[in-house]
Amino acid sequence: MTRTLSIQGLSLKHQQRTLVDQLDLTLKAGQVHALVGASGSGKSLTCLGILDLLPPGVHGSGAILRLDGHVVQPAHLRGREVALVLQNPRSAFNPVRSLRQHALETLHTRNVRGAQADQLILDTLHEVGLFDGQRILDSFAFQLSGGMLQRVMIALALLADSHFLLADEPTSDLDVVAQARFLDLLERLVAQRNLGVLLITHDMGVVARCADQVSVMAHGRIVEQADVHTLFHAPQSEEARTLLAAHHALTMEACTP
Amino acid sequence: MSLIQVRNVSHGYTAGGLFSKRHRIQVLSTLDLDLHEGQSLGLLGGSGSGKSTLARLLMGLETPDKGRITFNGQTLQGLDPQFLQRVQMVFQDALSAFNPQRTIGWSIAEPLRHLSNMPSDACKARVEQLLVNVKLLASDHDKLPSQLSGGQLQRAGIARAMAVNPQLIILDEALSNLDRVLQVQILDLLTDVRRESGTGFLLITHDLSLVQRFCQRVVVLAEGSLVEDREVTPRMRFEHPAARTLQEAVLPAMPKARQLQKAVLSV
Repeated sequence: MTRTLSIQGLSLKHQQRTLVDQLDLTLKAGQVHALVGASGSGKSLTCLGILDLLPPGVHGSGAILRLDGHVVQPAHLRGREVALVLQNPRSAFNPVRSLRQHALETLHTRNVRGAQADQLILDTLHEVGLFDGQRILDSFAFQLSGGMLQRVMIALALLADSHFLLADEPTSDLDVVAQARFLDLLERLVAQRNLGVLLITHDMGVVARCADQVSVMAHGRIVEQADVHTLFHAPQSEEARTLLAAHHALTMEACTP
Repeated sequence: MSLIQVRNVSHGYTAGGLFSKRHRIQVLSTLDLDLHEGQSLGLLGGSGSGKSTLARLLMGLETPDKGRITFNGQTLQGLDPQFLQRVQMVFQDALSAFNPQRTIGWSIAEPLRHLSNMPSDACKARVEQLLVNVKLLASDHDKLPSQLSGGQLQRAGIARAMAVNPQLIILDEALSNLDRVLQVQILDLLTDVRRESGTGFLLITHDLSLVQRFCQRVVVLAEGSLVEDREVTPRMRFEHPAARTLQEAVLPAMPKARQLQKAVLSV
């Protein structure tokens, strides 16, 4: 059976304003589900809302979270079943703790310690394409580049043995080459580890590159949900058409063979 | 005619001291570049290739260790008003490029106050015109930087650079933080500016698709020197390996036939 993570009826409010309205989303293991939309459409809040990590003043109501069909609480998913990769990796790490301490902390929650933990950490770093493990583990977040930190963040997600990954604009701060490598890695992990990924982005190029399913968001609602080929060949909503028009304006002449 | 000439420029920084041994990082080595009047040139390079260093040298914010940069035949020396009237720059981080305590209108009028002797009511009219040009509202004049979004601020930065009608605007990753829809809008806006007033642009970026949309000529920076210099054509192919890497990293226009690809992978 394919593992699934679904959320139904997610509504988020700040004071009287509705930011996200009755949103339904289902992630399947082994698939990349892209959530696209313009800035301010509620993409990032949706991602935080799933894990109940909302910023102060924003309140959620009525959302039902199901893992493989069973109702679960967000607190049971965080750091275990579901891992989060954020846009700015630098602010996601504690600047005064080394990356080794971050990795060991994650493994402590799984009760893996000692030599076994060290080996597992090195193997995992290797898996995300960081071959200089010892040096990286002794470094602090500010000593590594953005692309490397994004990889370490993914490695931490793998160490927690998560089956689902929520990635909030993971590549918008990286240059195109680092972006391409990151997306390669994501694709490989989805295939090998059967990860289910929610990929939040505003770049239709990223969607074309690695998404299976796409949800288009606008004004806090999902306005279109389709598989990636259907969306690119026959977009239904105004928002999807706008995003695709901008994307094609930049890429069509560059890519025609 | 070339506006700025870069000849044999080398530049580097001293790093370390607190956490590691002091050492020298060489960023640019014997680099030559000509910027022509009214041309839009793309400067392409990966992270850490020295794009921003080159921009800072061109702007006179730093003096090169070796070599010479000349502007209209004269060696560039610091920031003199005559030079700033001709060359303006837009930085990547828009929020930190604005004074947080002053209104947007005040910031955009800054070059007009310092570099021209325009009376203050004419200044205000000019600023409102500029705001409309970059698709902001004239009423944004009295807002503070914190009240605008990143994309709006970036456009305000472009408005400020255009205020004194310079001959050259340097855009240092000025579009990288914007979403695609805004990138296309701003590039179209800048194309109009170039056509109407003959302003030249230097677009510094790591994204080849922006260069293809906007520039007439592209140079690629890798390992401290320029490895490619060519006209932008729809089907151009780079030859240098570093440039090819950047070209191959451009995201696809359409999704691939994924099922097929997966089948191939599993075999």
